[in-house]
Amino acid sequence: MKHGVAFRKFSRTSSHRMLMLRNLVTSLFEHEQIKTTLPKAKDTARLAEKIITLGKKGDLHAFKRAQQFLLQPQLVPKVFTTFAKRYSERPGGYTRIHKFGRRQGDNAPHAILELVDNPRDLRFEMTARAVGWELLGKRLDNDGPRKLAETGVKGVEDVVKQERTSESKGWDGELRPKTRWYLKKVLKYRGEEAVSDLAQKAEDHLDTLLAKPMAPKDVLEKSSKNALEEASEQTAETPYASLKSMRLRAGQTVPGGVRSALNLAQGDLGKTWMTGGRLRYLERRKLGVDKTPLWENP
Amino acid sequence: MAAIALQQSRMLWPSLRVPFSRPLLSAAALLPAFLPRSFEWRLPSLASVLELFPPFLLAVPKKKTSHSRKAMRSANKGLHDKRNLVHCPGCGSPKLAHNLCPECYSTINRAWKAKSKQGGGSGDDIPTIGTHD
Repeated sequence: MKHGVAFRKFSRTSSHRMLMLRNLVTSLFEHEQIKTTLPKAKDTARLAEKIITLGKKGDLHAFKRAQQFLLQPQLVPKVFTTFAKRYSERPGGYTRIHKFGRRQGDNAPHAILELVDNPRDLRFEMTARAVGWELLGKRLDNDGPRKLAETGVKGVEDVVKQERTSESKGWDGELRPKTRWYLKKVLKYRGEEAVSDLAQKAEDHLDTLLAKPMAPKDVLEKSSKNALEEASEQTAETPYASLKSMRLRAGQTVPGGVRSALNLAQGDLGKTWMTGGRLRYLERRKLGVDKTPLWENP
Repeated sequence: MAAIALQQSRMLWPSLRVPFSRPLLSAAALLPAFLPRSFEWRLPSLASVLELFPPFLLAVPKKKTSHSRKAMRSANKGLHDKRNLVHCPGCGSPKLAHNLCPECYSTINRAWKAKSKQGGGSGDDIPTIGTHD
């Protein structure tokens, strides 16, 4: 039985275990983002945060203790300068664990362990992409993405600044409540340049989404014309092409879609429900008066 | 090989060759007179051991399990469908709930590697020694 036992053993002796964790912490400080198994990540996070606390203390005793622990002496100054400055305002929680599915050979649960606010912060990147996706879903109207691709989406940075200071916790803004929450968290202990950085990344992602081919199936069929001529033939009035021609994978959706991933992945086996004699999922809720069906053949 | 060895051993130690009935006679002679002589001491053989254990104790299948019965037994051993599927907030593709989207992670990672290759040690790169602040 393992009732109330606090620490993991990892099927290793005490000295081996400690050295493994020291190696993991050293690698984390070197690369600021590592991929390992979930239990190892959890134990490594605990130790890494304690070393960063030593870095924040900054005195000689703390330096010596950190030097004893880390396995690369050139990393100790990094802890006491870079990390101490980065986390000077933050009260704890200097690491973050992202779950990342399972490993191929042994089905071990994988995780990505990273230092918060590092140059490659994953949550920062994902929040930027989510902001881009949601703004695209909001800005799409009946004319479809073609018109939007010409003008581009404007005011992404204003939206980011507005949502950052917004006290709302509901759906009365440009973003989902969860995305707004993540936006606030990610920008909390960063400088002002992070706001423009995030807005830039969101815009880039938005442009990437708009630039995806509208009707690749039609392009393949008409092999005589080249892709550029084919794409330029579409006019602003062409709505989002039929979802069949977009060649979406099972479960994939478009910006502004309303069906859940499970429902889409199940395909014909997915439950459908009717409101007022009309199949619910055919209505694009977010686009107001637009009643054009999302699917050609329901 | 074993037969030859046995013959050799018989030849080598003919004096030690003791017939099986010898201990029987000696044991019988040692017994007190009032005990029945029919009581024999013998090494327990497999047949006598089996006589002590009745047949139902040595379990054995009576018939080959039919295909139907075998299939019925494994009816509830099937795989379960994954229901914790959600849309990635960044790219709309399906992903496991509470996990990172592998598509997005792949894109971000590739972009970062391309940038660091192009930059060749620019300011954004992860330094091994803390130099810039």
